[in-house]
Amino acid sequence: MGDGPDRKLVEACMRGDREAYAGLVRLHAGRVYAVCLAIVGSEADAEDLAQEALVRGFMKIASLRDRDRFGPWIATVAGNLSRNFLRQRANQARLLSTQADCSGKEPESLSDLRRALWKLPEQHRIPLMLYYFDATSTESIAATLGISPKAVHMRLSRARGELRKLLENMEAHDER
Amino acid sequence: MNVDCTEMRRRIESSIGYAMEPDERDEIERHCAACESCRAYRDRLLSDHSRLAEFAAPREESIGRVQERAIERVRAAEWAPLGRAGRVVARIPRIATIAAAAAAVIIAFIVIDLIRGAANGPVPAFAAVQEKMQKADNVVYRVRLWNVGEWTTYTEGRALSRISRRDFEDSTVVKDLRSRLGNTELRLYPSERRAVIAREVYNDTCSRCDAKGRKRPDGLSSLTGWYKQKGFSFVRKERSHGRNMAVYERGPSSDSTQTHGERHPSSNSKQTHRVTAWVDLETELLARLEVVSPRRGPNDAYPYSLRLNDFLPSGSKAAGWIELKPNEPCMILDNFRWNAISDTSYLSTVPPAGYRVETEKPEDPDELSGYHHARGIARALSNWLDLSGNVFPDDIHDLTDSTKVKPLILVKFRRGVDPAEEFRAAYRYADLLSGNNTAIWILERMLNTPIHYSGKDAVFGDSKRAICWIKEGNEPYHIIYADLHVAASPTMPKSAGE
Repeated sequence: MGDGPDRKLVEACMRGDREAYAGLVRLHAGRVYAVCLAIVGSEADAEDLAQEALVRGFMKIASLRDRDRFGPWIATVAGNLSRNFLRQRANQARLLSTQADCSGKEPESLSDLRRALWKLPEQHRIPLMLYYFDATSTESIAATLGISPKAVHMRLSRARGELRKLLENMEAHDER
Repeated sequence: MNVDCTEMRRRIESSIGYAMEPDERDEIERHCAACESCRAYRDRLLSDHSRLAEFAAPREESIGRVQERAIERVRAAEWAPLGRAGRVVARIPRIATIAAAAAAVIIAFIVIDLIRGAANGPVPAFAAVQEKMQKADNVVYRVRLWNVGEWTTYTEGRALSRISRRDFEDSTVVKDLRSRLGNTELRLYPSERRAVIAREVYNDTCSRCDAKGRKRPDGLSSLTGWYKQKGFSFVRKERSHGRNMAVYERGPSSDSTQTHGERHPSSNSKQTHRVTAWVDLETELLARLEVVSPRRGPNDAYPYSLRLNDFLPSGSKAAGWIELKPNEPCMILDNFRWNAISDTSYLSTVPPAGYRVETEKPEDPDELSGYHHARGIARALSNWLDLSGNVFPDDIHDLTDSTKVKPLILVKFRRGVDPAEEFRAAYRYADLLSGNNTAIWILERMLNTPIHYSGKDAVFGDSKRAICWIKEGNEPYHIIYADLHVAASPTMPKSAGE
C-alpha cells in the first residue's frame, strides 16, 4: 500500500468530499486497527479505537501538513488514542478479562501464540502486527513508524527470534 | 550450537517473509542441509510465520467492521473537515445553544435546591451513616497519602466478601482474606505481564471463620480504620462537587502524649489525628475523608530523629518547603463509588491470561517463634552492617538508639546536592530500619525475652563465631553467627557466653 494515491483523496477530502475520506478509510483501516490492537490487546477495544481514530482523522484532516503522508499520520493518531485509552482506564481488569475471552475462541496453538505475542516489547510487537494484520511491505511499515526500512527488517527479524524463544519457554513450561 | 549456527539463525530469522539474494539463500540452504538443529529451527520459524498469518486472518472481519462504521459516522457527521478557524466559526451556533441549555440547567438546580431547603434539611447521625456503609456490598475510592514531601496515590476497592484490590501506577494487588487456612495475595505487574501469587498459611484455622471456613462478614468496617471510630460530630453543611454534603469531624483528643497508638493510628488508644468526613446527603454514604496529623508538622521527629534541618544548608528554614503546613491533611480518601463493582474479574485472585505466573513459597506456619525472631534480629544487624561498613555494633541496643543510628544515616545520605531528595531517601531508609528493628522491640518489651549479644569484636563473615542468641520458652537456643546465618541448638553457644 503506497502513500502516493493518498494526496488526491486527502485534497478532495479537504474540499469537503466525504466519499474521498471513505476511500482513505478503506485504504488505511487495516493499518489503524493493527496499531490499536498491538497497543491495547483487545479486539473489541481495538475496533472501537480504530473507528474513533478514523473519525478523528476526518475531523482533523485540515491539520495534516504533508498530504502524501496520511498513513503515518493516522497511525500516529491511532497510537496516541490507544495509549491514552490505556492510561485513562482505571480498571485494568477489563482488558485482562477481554483478552481471556478472546483467547477462549481460538485454537490452543493460536492462544499460545497470542500469549507470546503479548510478551514482546511494543517496539517489536507493532511492526510484527502491521506486517501480518495489514499485509504491508517493510517500506510501508517504515513510513508508518517513521523509521528506515532496514530498521523495520531488523525489528521484524528480532521479533521473530524473540517470539520463538518465548514459545519454546512456554512449551517447556507446559511440559513440566 | 556453535558460533556459525548462532549467526546462521540470525540470518534465518532475517530471511522469513523477505526476498533474499540467491547467494545468501543458497548459503542458508547449504547450512540447513548439513545442520539438523538449524534446519529444525528454520522449520519452527516458518511454522510461526504461518501461524501468525492464520492468527491475523480472522481480523479481516474486524477491519471490515471498522471501515463500515467509520465511513457511516463520517457520512452522518454534521461537521465538515474545516481548518481550525473554520471549525470554531461553524460551531458558534452550537456553542450558543449549549451555553443557553447549561444556564437553564444551573438555574433549575438552584431553584430545586432552594425548594428542597437543603440548607435547613435534616442530617443523619454519623452512626447511621456508618451502619449504612457497613451494609454496602463494595466500594471503590482513591487514596492519597503524604510521606515526606511526596504523595502516593492509588485506587482501592473493597468488598463485603473480604477481598480487596489496590491499583497503583505500575502494579495491582488483590488480597483475598476469606480462607480460614490462610490469605492469598495476587500481585500484577502489567508492563512485565507478570503475576505473583503469594500465600500466607495459618498453622491453625482462623478463629474469625465460621464452621464452613468462611470468614465471618464484618462489613466494610476495615475500610479506612477511621470512620468506624467514635466521636464524629456534625459540623456544617456545604455544597461540594454539585452535591449537598454534611461535614463531620473527630479528634484530636486533648492528651497528645505520643504512644504506640500514634504509630498505628487505626488503634483506638489515642485520638491524635483530626479526621473530617464528608457525607453525601442524598446517598447518606461517605464521599470524602481527610486526616490531619499533628506529627506531620515542621518540628516533628522522624525515625531515628531525622529532621529536614539536618539536610538543609545552615540558616535555611524548613517550614513550608517539604513538610505539610499545619492543618494540611496527610491522607485524603475521595472519589467514593459505593456498590460500583460489577465485574467479577476485578476482585479475582486468578492470574489473567497471558501473564507469566510466579508463586512465592509461603512461610512455614510451623516455624518456631524463636527462629523467626532470631532472623528478624539478623536482618536488623545486616542493616547496621550496611551503614557501618561491616562493623558490628558494641551493643545490640545500638540498633534502636537514635544517637548511634542517626549519624551513620547522615553519613550515608547527606551529600549536600539536593537536600530535599536526600532527606526523603534517608527518611525512607530510616523508616525501613525502624520496621526491621521491631524484632528487638517485640522480644524485649512485649515477650520479655533477653537478647544475649557478644558481637562487639566479631569479624563479619565468620560462620563459626556465635554473636547473639535468644531462648524462648521450651524452644531450643536460636543462635546468630557472624555471617548472619541462624541455627538452632539444644545447648547454649560457648563463644556467645556472657
